[in-house]
Amino acid sequence: MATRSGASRTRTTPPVLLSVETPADSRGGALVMLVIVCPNCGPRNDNEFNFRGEVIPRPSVDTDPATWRRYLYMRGNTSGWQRERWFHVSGCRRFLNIERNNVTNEIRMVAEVGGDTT
Amino acid sequence: MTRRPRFSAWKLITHGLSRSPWPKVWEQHELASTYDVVIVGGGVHGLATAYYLARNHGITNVAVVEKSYIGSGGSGRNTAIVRSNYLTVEGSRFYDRSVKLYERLASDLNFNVMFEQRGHMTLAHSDSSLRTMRWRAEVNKLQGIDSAVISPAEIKELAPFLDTSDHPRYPILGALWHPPGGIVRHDAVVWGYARAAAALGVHIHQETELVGIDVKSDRVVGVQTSRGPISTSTVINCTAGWSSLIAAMAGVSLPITTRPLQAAVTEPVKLFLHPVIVSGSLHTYVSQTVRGELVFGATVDPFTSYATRGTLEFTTDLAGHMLELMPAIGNMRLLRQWAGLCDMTPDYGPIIGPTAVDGFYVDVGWGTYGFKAGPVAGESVAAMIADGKPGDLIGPFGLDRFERGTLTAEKGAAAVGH
Repeated sequence: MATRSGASRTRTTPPVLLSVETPADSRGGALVMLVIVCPNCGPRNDNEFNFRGEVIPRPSVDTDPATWRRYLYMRGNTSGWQRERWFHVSGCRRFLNIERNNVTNEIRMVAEVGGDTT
Repeated sequence: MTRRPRFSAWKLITHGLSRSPWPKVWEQHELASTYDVVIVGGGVHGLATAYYLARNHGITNVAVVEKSYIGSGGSGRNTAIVRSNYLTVEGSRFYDRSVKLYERLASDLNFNVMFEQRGHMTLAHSDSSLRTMRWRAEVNKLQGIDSAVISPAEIKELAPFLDTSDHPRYPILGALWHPPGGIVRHDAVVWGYARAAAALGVHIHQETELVGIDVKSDRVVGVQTSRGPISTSTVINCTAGWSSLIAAMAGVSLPITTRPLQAAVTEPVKLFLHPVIVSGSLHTYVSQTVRGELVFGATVDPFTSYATRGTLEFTTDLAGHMLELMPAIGNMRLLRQWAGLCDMTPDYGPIIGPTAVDGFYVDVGWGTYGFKAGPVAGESVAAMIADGKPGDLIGPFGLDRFERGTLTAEKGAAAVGH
């Protein structure tokens, strides 16, 4: 797990299901600390990562300004499962796609960008 | 319209002596089938909007729908700090009006909101933040706002418990001093507005959740609530935390991400800290309530979430930073911590104004500074509904600024500063 070969960069990482340490309480509370199982580095605390927001398809660069600004600023901001991008800044320094429930903070999928379908 | 019982020192004495029960503060109403205006969210913004609609514009057929109890969201979770020393002209002008409204709110509402203008001190720990403070002070002075940069010696005089020596890792180099800033009792502001609005005929519906907004050919025609439908032509989204979800009901998307902001409070001790102390570099701020508790706040959590539970990381960071500022409080114990949801916008400015759907207005995106803007936002939104267009004070904060690319750049003074 610790070393990452060039081949693994493009390998499809199987979805990692993180078993939560503390069950989300009935008030819809979060875990005390978020643990992300990095496909390259293993389970790490969230403060090793940079949160980069929900995954939004990027328009082509020659699009009109209104579309570009919509891409820059508008967000779905849904409550529940959300597909988002994180950067493992203090680890493998790879971008990750993560599916996280932003009400309970459960994580059901972590994959390197390019490793899964996006 | 019911006559509202007045509160006064005389009433307090007579009720105290006779032990007679106090009259009900406001009446509960059945949900009517039609309202002129439906306000979503029973926090300080929603209730202030309802109050100013009724008082300033005579629009009293208004319903405030709140999914829980009034003041249960951001209005009851903030750290109750009021100030107007913002970085931009638009920002400082807007919040200055809010401070002015807070100054006479208690007599306006006939309700003691316990507003104390103890002064607001933003510490600088680096040359660059000192530079920004000089800039802010000059912008503020031009708007007629009392704001100045002060030296560590003057800081020591105003807050003797602060460590102004050069021993800390981030020594205090100066501060932005803003005497009109202070703290207020946030629950009282909510209750005062609710009581005053209800006395003018506004219906406040608690435990009434909005579940849908009916839109026909780009016009609002009604709303669906957990207690039944309401037909209306005007809906104002005054929610925080859930504003994107409410707007999505009308098919409107917002440039908002929701993040929790955590706060904590210590056990009460004898009053020793008069001003409100803010440190942007240490991501923290502190004030002492009249009960003697120290109220701590922080910056927003590092990732978006709708969860409002505290984290251990927050507590340890907070304790470390507070001890660096005030080593003397090392033996104090934290009583509790909590989190509130903050709707962050890309430029740290709020979003107030009409949307692409006719009759659907927003008063959202208040980030970490919504409470201090409650009165002015209510007043401005009420005027916008009555006049049909946003006034000068809120003109720069329209939703269309994100499509035009004319953002407000308030991050420098709003990101952490409270």
